[in-house]
Amino acid sequence: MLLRLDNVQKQYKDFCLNCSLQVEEGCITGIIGANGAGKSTTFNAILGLIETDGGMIEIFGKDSRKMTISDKQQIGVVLAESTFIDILTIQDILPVMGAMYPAFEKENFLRKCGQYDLPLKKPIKDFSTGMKAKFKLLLAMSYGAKLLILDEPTSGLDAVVRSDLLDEMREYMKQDGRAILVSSHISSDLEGLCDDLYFIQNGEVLFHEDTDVILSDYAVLKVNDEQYRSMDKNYITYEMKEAFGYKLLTKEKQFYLDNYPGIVAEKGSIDEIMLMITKGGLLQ
Amino acid sequence: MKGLLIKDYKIILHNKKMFVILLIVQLLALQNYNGYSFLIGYTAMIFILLALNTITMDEYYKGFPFLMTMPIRRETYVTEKYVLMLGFSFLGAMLSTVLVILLHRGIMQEILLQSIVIYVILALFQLLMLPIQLKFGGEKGRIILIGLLSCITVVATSLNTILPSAFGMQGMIGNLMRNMLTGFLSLSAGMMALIVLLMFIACLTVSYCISLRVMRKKEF
Repeated sequence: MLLRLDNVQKQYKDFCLNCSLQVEEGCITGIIGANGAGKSTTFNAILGLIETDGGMIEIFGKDSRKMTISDKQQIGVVLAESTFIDILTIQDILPVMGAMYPAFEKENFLRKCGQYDLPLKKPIKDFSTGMKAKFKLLLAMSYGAKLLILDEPTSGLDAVVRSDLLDEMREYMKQDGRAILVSSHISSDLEGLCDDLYFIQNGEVLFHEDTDVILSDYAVLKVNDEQYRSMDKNYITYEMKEAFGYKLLTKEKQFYLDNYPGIVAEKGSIDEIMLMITKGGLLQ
Repeated sequence: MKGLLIKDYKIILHNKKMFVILLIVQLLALQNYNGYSFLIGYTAMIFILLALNTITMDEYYKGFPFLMTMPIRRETYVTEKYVLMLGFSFLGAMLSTVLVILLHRGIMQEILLQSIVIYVILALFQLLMLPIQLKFGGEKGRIILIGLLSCITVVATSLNTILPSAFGMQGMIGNLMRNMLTGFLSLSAGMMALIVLLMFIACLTVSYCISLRVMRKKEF
């Protein structure tokens, strides 16, 4: 396991984080949640940018507070609102990266910059949003880090750029021993990329599941009042009252399809599940 | 630390315009023979500002959080800033001193002595400035520094005038300072240098420890 958070707590005036999660080797783990849900606070806690009030963070099997320089050289980071000093150019940054990361793959990084038409002599502050996002991700991937921690790497980008970046992440994972923790509020990005997903709200992890399981086993059932009264609700986790009757979230789609042929079962999607968890009532 | 020094060197290079202005003022100052102490102090001060600007740039557009995710310790960041600031101002003072000496060979010893005194004063100023800058950042830090210097002036004035007259000790502090200075000046050059060096090391240690504490507690 490359990353483990166990009841990590951070108390602010009007917000409290209480988060547990794990990132396994060879996996892309996603964190999804609305703005202000606690995604960035979780990332800041992992990266030691804030002091936590409790809990334990383990990176590469050791307490994150005891990380060595060589451990940090194995972590690639994209932060939503922060990047390298942006009055500098890519050309300026090359010797800095070379000095800080012994495994910095300069030639490969420059090749990728060329591939995405990133200007080498232009200050980063003058880059477009898409160019900045590409630069941040390519930089994080430029020294073969074992663990990538990517906070909103696709935020504010058009579909084409987002697709490029997601492809880069998939490509990066082709090498063994690596893992990615990535956050986004764009569920479709994570749905097609991640092996497992955490849904976080008000600083709490409300839901964690493998993406394959979400897509194959989860369903939102639409039932009328009569069907609702007569059905077995043992496998229903959330319910929501609607004009036509009820919307129900289940992890046992096949059970209801087999036993209640008249029920409308919509395939599980992250957006639907998030909506049910956020707006619906918990049954069990 | 090497990576941080390269980064700051690159940031400083982006302020080339300031170097050009510095050069022009240097040339103007060199027209006047008596201007060399101003020239040395001015050049060192410009070099300090260029180095100090690197902290402002680090925090500009929230660059600090990303920097702190890189393989550096917070302690290394602090050490690098002290090395940069003291080293860079020393470089500024030395460059201008060499220039002045080359143009006025006859008074080399006097120029050198003035240069050292100016450098020590400016270095002490940096030792005060760095923890404030790290704690409060560029803009706020400057305001707090001005406030602090004003407070020191007010306190010093009060100690010398208001308080002694209130307690019937007119001129006492002034006399004390005068006596200390006279005693100091009567020492041998070697002893004076040693005292200055020890005081400087003490100030550096205090300033560095405060800066370390600030950085260790800082959240991004």
